[in-house]
Amino acid sequence: MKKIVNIKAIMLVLLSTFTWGCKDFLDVNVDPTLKSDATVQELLPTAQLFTSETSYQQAFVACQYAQQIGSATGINGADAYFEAENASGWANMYLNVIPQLNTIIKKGSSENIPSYVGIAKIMLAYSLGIATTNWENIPYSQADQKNFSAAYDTQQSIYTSIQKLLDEGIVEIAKNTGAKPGIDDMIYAGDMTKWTKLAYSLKARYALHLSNQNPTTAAQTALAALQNAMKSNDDDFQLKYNSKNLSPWYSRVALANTTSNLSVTYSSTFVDMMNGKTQGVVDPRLPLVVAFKRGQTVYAGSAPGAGAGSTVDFSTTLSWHSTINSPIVMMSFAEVKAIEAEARFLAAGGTVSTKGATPEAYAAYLDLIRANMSKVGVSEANRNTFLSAPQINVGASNLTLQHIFQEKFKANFLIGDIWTDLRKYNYFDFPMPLNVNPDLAGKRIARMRYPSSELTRNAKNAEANIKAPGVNMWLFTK
Amino acid sequence: MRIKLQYLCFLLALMLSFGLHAQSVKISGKVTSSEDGSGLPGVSISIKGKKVGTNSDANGNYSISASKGDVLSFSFIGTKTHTETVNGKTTINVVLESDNSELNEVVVTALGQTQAKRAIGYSIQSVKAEEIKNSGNQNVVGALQGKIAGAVITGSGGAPGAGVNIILRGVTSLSGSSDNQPLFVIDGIIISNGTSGGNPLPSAGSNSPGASEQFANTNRAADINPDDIENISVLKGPSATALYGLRASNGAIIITTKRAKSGKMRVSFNTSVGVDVLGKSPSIQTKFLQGRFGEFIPLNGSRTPFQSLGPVLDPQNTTDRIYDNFRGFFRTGYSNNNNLTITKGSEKGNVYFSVGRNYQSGIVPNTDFGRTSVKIAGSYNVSKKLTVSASLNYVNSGGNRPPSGDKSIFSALAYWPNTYDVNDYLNSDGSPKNILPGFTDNPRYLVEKSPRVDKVDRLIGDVTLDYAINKWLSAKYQVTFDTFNETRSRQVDSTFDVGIPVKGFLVKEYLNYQEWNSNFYLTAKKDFNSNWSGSVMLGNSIVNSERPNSYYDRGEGWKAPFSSDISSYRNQQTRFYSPAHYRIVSFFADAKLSYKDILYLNVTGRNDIVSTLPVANNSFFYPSFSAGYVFSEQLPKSKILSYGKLRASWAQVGKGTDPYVTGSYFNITDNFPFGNTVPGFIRRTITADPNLKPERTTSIEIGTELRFANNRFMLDATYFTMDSRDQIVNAPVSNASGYTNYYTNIGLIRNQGIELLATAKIIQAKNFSWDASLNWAQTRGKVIEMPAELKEIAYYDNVVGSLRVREGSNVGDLWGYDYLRAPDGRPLINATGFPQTSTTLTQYGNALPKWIGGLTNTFNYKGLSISALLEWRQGGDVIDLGERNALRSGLLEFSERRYEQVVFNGVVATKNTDGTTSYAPNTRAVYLDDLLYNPSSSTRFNGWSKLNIQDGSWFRLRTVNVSYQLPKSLIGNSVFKSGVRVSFTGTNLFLNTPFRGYDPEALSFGSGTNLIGFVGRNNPSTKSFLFSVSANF
Repeated sequence: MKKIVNIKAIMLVLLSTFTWGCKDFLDVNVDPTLKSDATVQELLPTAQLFTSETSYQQAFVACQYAQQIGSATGINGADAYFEAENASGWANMYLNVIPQLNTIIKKGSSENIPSYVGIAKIMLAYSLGIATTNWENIPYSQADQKNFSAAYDTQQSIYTSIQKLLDEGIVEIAKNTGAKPGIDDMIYAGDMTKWTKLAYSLKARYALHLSNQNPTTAAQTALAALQNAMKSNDDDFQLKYNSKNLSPWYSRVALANTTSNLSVTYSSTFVDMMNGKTQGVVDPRLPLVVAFKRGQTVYAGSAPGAGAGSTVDFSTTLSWHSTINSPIVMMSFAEVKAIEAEARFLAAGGTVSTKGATPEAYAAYLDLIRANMSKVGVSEANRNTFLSAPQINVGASNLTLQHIFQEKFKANFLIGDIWTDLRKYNYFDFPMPLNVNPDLAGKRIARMRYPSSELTRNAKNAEANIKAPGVNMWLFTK
Repeated sequence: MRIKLQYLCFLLALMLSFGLHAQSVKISGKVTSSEDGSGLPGVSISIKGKKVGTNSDANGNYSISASKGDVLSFSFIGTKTHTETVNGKTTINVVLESDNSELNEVVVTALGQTQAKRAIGYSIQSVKAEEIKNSGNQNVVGALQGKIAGAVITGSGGAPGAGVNIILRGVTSLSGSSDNQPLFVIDGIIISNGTSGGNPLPSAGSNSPGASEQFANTNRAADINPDDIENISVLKGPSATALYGLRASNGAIIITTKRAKSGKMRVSFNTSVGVDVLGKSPSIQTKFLQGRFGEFIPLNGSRTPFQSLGPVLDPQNTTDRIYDNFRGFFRTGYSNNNNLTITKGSEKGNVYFSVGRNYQSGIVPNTDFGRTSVKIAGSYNVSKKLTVSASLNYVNSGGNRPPSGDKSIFSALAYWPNTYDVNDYLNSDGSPKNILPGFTDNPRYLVEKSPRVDKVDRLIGDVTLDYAINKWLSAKYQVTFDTFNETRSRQVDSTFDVGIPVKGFLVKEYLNYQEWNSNFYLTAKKDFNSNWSGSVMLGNSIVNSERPNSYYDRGEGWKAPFSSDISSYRNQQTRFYSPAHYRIVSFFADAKLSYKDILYLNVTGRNDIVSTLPVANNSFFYPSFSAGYVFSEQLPKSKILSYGKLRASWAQVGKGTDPYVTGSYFNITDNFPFGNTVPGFIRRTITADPNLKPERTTSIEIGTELRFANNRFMLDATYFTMDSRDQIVNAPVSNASGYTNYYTNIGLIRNQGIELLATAKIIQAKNFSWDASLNWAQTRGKVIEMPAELKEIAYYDNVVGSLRVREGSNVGDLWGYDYLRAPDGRPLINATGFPQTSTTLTQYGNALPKWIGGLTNTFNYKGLSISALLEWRQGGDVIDLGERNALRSGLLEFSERRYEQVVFNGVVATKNTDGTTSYAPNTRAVYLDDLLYNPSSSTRFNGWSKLNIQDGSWFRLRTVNVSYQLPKSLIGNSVFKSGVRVSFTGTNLFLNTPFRGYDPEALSFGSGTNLIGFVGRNNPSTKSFLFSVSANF
């Protein structure tokens, strides 16, 4: 009996030891291969890379809608106005860009490093601009808050938020205290004056987006911002790639071409604007930007919606935008000049059907051409020949919005924002694609579709905001 | 916790109150086998009506205290129960005869307990060593195919060492990442049967959705040498596994290995050689050459001739030939297995030693798999009360794995024109010869130069102490461990199409796994009176499992010096895999009560405390109840019904979640440092409900076992329903939340099923017998509830179909794109004259079989035994990921109808001015050519769900085994006097299926995944012939 009591006691002691020791013993649920925190210096490069990715993904679709590029894999592509979700662009922005930027803003504010807060706010404004021009209403004020049914903000409030974020970014940078970025700023290498110039340039871009609503206000707001905007090609907002991190147009389009995994090629609308068909003068950028297919000698793009028929293709070595190191350009000095030309044109009361502009507007138009030509490496002689061609050198009194737009169209090659210009001016005289999406019933494509993941996972909010592909965004309403 | 502790103390006290009045005479003796006279260890010896019991030791010796007039009962697996009345003798030696009636069958249940099958209140099935051996399968899981009612066992193809997937009683977990695999336990050692997918992809240039598709990775139970196995018990549902707790919520496979018998040293040797050939293959077209639209496309021109849609083969032309590359690519594989076992037992203990070597070369050139296993096990009787036993098993396995998945041998084969022999892959100077440069690699070149090489070193072992505290109370402590490290490497240099985007890459993976378990049991047995007896077991178990220091090295950009070392790559990165460390502390109790041999009751309770759930919810308790009622005991003796039993059980099992899901983390951004200089981090996109609760599966099971005509016929039927509630689902969520996945408790899945088992001794003559065994099962799974914010969960999407669930849908539902149709159902024909598919998914087909069945017939004539296993799988639709490519490139027989003019049945829609649509019959004639088989749009014939989602039913002759035991007269007293047996096994000799591709039994995503229903990108299954000889010395 005594023995039994002993055993009982031992058992009890053992059991209690087990139980009370449990808490520490079970405290192993922390992954040692991951960090529980990251510094702003570690988060900024990630946000920058994926901002560039998001820009590429927007351009891949938007530049097909805008007829810069077109499908090389048959009909029913985006160039025939079939709807695209751009699901990877959506995912990149909400998962890879915004969480990093919000973390930088939070940490930067509490650790008193306003330079990072400023950069993050400017980049956030840029991302919202990309997203709202893709999809119109988008989640923002409830986004990145672990809210699994985030409501969508209206496009109008997104435009307000963009300007507010840019103003705040400018203020933060002006504080000029605390740690400054170095190599972790893969875009401007810590040059804060360039970030400020970018903020003003973006203010101008997003102000002028609204010119259909009030041309004068939009133009004047843009012109005010432009005073502090980019001053040269050195100020361009772009990410340069390298032989480890390959340029997207290189790895996903040009290189894929070499393994017969075709995707997109140049659109005839774009090639014709370069080869003299549209403008009556050959643009010297043509051989630098567009490459021939094997054995081809005549430049011809693929007609929108045709899905085939081009003599040209993106090349891994011969086309400026798709070599291994090619940058993704998100906003350029050339675009700043295009905005200036357009804003001055509108500020003087010009419309899409009027002719003539101020000498300042005309100068900006010529600067736009010069800036982009020097960027892609056109020789001075070739540039001057082009600039003196009568079709280009039309003089201030003959300048039209279409002249400005055509040059912007070429300079902004593979920058998705060009689709906003087209929608704003109802696609100018661009041809209706072949085999066009019948759902549009003759209208032009006006928006991207929300990713299907939103429709299955955030159904109530997505369904409340979904609109047919031909319905104009708030942005373009007059 | 406090309340549970009190509960445990109460049980403890209850248990300690047993047996205080025991008084008796000591009886001892030895139990031997009638077959060979060896001592039988582990024989259960009890006193009838008293429930005092003991087990024989390793040599068959036992001792027990009993009173005069007591009846001793001796029971052991596979032998007849023997009874002896105590008549004053203190030594009782017993010879147990092997039992073919199976009426007194003893089975192994949870935690390795041996129990009389009649005492169990739930369905259990066991498979003996002989059946495993006769299957000829070197993978333990594969060896169970067709034998277990309710188990869906599917291979991932015929590559040597390919994984085998097993699902018992349906899919219970909705998460795509969960594998629904049962727990594997060998002699009380919980082993990993995991299949590690890893992530060996380059940073750019592959369309593969994930690495799991690339290689048929081995399920780790394949490391177990089948020759070491004595018996496998399959515990299918929560009722059977409640004592194992959360890790066995998908069932458990309990493996008991062979142990030494006492007596002289025994040596047995077993050797076999086998041949594997390709089984079924798709039928190819033999009438057309390479080209497009009937036009011939020559080699080395400006176009790549990857389509066989060219001109008609002219029979007069002697230079053109058609090659069936779908068969010609494969070679004959060979296998060789050798196994040596030495055992020796004595009064003080016993030793078991085995060494086995298994080598198999695959039917895909340059692929193989080898396994070397060395095992030593033994026990030692330190004193009459204390026995120490231990085992250690070292396994080395690995081989060359063929690259499968996208951009691999199988997608390349689907593009290789019929006009060229795929095996002609080298130029005379040794450089690659590729007729499709810039399009795809020659598949033969791919596998010859770029296989993945893997290697596993594994140690499994345990130390066990058994201590008989007194006559009615015993304690057992076992500590077990399972550890392996695996290395995998694959080099794809820049001569490969798949290596071009990153200019060649090398991936080396290092995977480590460690698990140890500590188990403590205290068991008390007591007979209350001559009618009632009972026992109580209390236990504690502690689990520690992790994958420490697992990582991969990836190099990209091959540079001089061109070696296969990581230093030959310009861009290098190392990434760690999650160590997935978790611990579980559990307390459990098991109480049994029996009334005569008629009624058996069993109550279990288990409390798990897990490291992976939030502290507030990390401790959870779940009970089970079961009852067995042998009603035939209460009926008058009948010639018709010789035995009848009813079973009923109710059980619950709780389940935790994956490690680390509840934390917030930052990871290195993929492909950073940018430009090899700038580091980058990214917030993890997985998050979890901070109040995550354990998930619970509740099962109700009823069944019966009936035996007729003096046990000649047996029918065992089970019905079960299983509700998995509060599922922990890794739910895909709106990215606007900042996350991709959210671990939360949602939904309810209900699985219901019927399992039938029937056996018959059709002929029982002196020298001849014919036995048949039939099993049949049907399981249905339905998603009853889904959360409001989640409409569906998509596991895998492909252009031709996807696997997804929605509320109200069946588990395993496949979705695809049907033709656009008029309101009356007729297909809409578009302006080009062809039907066009919708861009909206509709449900069509289900990847889980409607029912499965197996029939084994065994014939014995003297020493000759012939056994054949027929297996059916009805339903189980599959999407052939390889077929669509082969169809588009015009390789398949069913694309042989070409250049005919046809009019598709259907209607043409016209929009009327009033907004309505009218439909007129289609009259547009079209030619059957590339426009049908290889249109530029995916919304055509080759994207049609009813083409792509095929019926994967099959009926096959899984195995045929012929074995012959050489007669004594022949071997006499030679060294082989203990027996020589020769046998032949044929596998998959016959297959009948409506499926058009290779054998549909080759999961594209390998084992260990919920991604079922996709085939065609993995190594096809084989037909095998195996000849073996075993000799005992």
